[in-house]
Amino acid sequence: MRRLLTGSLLLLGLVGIGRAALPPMGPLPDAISDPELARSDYAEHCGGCHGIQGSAAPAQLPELRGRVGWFLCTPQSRAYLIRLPNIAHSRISDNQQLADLVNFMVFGLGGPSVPAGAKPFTAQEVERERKFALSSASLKAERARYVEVAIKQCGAPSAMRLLYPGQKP
Amino acid sequence: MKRFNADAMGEKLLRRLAGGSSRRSMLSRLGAALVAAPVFPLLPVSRAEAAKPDRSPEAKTGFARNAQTKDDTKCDYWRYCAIDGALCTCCGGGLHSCPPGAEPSPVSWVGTCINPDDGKAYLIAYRDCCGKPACGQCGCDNTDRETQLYMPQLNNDVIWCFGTSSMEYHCSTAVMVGAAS
Repeated sequence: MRRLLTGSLLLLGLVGIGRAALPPMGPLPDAISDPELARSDYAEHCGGCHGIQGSAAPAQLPELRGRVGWFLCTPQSRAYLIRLPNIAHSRISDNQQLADLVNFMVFGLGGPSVPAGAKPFTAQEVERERKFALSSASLKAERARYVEVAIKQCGAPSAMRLLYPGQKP
Repeated sequence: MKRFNADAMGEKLLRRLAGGSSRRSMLSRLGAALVAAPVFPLLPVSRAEAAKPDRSPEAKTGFARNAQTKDDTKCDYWRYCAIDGALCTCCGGGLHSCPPGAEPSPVSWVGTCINPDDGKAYLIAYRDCCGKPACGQCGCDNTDRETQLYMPQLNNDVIWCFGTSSMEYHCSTAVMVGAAS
């Protein structure tokens, strides 16, 4: 009966929704004081748009999975991540909790894109940089600038110029 | 004679204060203020700023206190704590699925709802189904953790049909993401 039901559901053409489970933890830096909370905060505060698993393609959003780590290339591009308005003005007021979230995003989702030797964010760094929220700069231009630096200095792939691999122009 | 004499007024005020209050009453008021001060950090605003989100039963929203877990075609079903729109369960779809002919949006609005059966908080993604005229059945507007429209990323009135072939809104699903910590 159950199989019959599933079959008829398929026939009816119901569109199931995938990719909604929390992403795996993966190797994370010890600097994250509460990895479970960091992942949960990511899903709650970022995952809606950027995707719970770090990808929302074909929506016009920068894909984080396997990519966001490249922004740890230089001190300026690190600061850019924290200065992004939705991070700097996040309703997470505790700087360690926000650092944990960003570290989960960068190391947990960004994975192999983190340049060798890049250090995790600290609460102090977050506290300092979130005061300089990018409120009037063009976020597209800022991103493009740091992508060029990451390609030149850290060997990021040229596909980083796109929002997600395979994006149609 | 001056009409407005600040000096005289000040003197009158001070003399009235001196005549009407004793040193002891002043001391007792000061003491009461000192004793009362530590009570204020217990107010909800202060607790909301605590590092860990408060998931205790006392912190439950009005929605969570009255939510039910049986009927997912009603607005008070527990997973709908921050849903805004037509329920896909009333439109030929399900909690996790779009009705035939509608396309799930790759982006969503994520809320945190409390399941009254186990008292735990869960992350729920409200994924809009798009590309079909509005369903119009079972319209709900629940607002847990939502803010005003000037912060669009924290507002659920926005139609989240981005990245779909059409931005036409049909209905909303409530996909379980996992337990919130």
